[in-house]
Amino acid sequence: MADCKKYMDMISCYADGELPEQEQKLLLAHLDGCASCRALLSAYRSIAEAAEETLVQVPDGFAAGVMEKIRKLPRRRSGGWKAVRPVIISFAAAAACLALVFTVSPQRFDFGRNKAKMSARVEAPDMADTAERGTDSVLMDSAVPEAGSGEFGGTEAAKSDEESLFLYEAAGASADVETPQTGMATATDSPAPNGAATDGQPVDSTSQVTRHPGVKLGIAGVDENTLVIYYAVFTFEGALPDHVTGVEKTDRGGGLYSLVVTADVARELINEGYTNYVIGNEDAETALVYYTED
Amino acid sequence: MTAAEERAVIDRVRRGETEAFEALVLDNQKKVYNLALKMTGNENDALDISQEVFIKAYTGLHNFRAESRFSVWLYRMTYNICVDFIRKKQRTPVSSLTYTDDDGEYMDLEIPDTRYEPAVEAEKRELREALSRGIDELPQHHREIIVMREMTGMSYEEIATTLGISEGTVKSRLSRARQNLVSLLNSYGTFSKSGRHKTGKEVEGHG
Repeated sequence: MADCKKYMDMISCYADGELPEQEQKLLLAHLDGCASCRALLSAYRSIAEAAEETLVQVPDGFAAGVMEKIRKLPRRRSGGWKAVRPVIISFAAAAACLALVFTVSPQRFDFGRNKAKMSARVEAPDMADTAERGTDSVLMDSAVPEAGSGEFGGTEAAKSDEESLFLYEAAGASADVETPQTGMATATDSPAPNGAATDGQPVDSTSQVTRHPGVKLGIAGVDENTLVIYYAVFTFEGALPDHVTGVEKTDRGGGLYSLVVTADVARELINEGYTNYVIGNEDAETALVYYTED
Repeated sequence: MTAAEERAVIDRVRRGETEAFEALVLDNQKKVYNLALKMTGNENDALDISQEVFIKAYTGLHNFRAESRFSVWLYRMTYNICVDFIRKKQRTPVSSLTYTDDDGEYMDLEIPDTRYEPAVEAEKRELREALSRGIDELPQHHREIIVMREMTGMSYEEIATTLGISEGTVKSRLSRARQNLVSLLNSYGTFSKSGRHKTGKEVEGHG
C-alpha cells in the first residue's frame, strides 16, 4: 500500500477533472486494484458535492446596502465612473512607502536642488494620522491632499472636498505633466524598454508634483539620480508573487528590496486585486514594487 | 448570468448606469461572502469585507479586463482584502490538530469506508455540517484553497494567480488540504474508518 502515496495528488486532481490523460491511465490502473484509493476518491467527490451546499445565504438587504453606499460616492460631474482612475488607495501603504524610502536610506537620495522641498515633505507631520485613518476607511476616504497644499498629510482640507478626489486623476491625465521616461535609466546594463533616451540629468518634476498632489503620491518611487515618477508603487509584505518579474532589483537594506516592473505588470497586479498600491503617473511606463526577503 | 450578459451589464455600469451594478452584486454576493466568511471566521467581518469588495469593484471597474471572469476578479480582491485583514488581526488557528504540510511526508490517512453513501437527507446534512466545521479547522493556507476550489469553483489556474503560486503547488496543496479534511471528517466520525493507508508519518502543519 506504500505505493498509494504517489497517487494522492493524482486522485485529488482526478476528482477535479484536471488530471492529464496520460496520468489518468496510470491512476485508473491503480484504482482498479486498490479499494482504499477508490474510497478516497469517493470521499473527495462526496466533499465536492456537499461543499456547494454548505454555502450560507447572505443576509437580506446586503446588495441594497452596497448600492446605497455606491450612490453616496462622489461622482464626476461629467457623468459616470468611466474615466475615474484607480483611487482605491491604501493611504497606510502610501505613507509606508514614503516612510520606507526616506527612512531606509535617506543618505542615498541626492535631492540636489530640490533638497529643501523634499525634506519638508519627509517631515510632513500628519503622516501617521493619515495612515491610521486610511487603514480603517473602506475606500478612497477623500484623503487625497488638496491641490497645492504641498503636504502629504493635508487631509483635513481635502476631506470634505469632493472635487479633490479628482485632482488626483487630473494629475495623471494632465497634458502638461512631463512624464518621466527614465524608469529604467539608472540600470546601465538594462536598456529602457521604451527606448527612451536618457541624458542622466535629474528630471525636474518637483514643480509638477507640487501642483498635482496625486502625482506627488508617486514620489515614493523617487530614484537616486532622477526624480522618476512611476506608474504606481506597490508594497508587498513578504516575497513577490512568482509572476511578478522586473529589472533593477535594489537592496534597500534591512531585508527590503525594490524592483522596477513595467506598467503592464502593475496593471496586471491591480487587475488581480492587489490593493496596496499608490498610483503615480498613469503615463509612466514603469512601476516600482517594494517587497521583503528574509 | 451568462458571460455575455455579464459583459453587457459591466458596459452599462461603465457608461454611468450605476443601478445596473446591483445585478452584479446579486449574482456574486453569495460566493464572495462565503469566501470572506471562511477566511475570517466571523460574519460581521465577512459582511464588511464583502461590502468593501463590491465598492472597490465598482470604483475600479475600469481595471477589470474581460479576459478573466468577473467573479474571479472579485474572489481575488476578496482574498487579498481578507489576507490584509487577517494580518492585522493576527488571527490564530482554531485547531491544535496536526496536519500534513505541502512539502512534508504524507500522514497516516485513514481512508473512509466505501460503504459511506450519503443517500438520505439526514446524512447529507450531517456531512454538510461536518464539512463546514472541518474547513473552519483547517490551517489557513489549506482552508483558503479548499474554499476557492470547492465553494467558489475557481480553476487551478485562477487559484494559482490569486495565491501567487504555481499550478503544481496548487495541485499538491489542494491534495494535502483534502487529506487533512478527510482526516478531520474521520475524527468527527463522519466517514467510517477503515484504518488503512498507514504509510507516512505525521508532520506539524504550518497553522
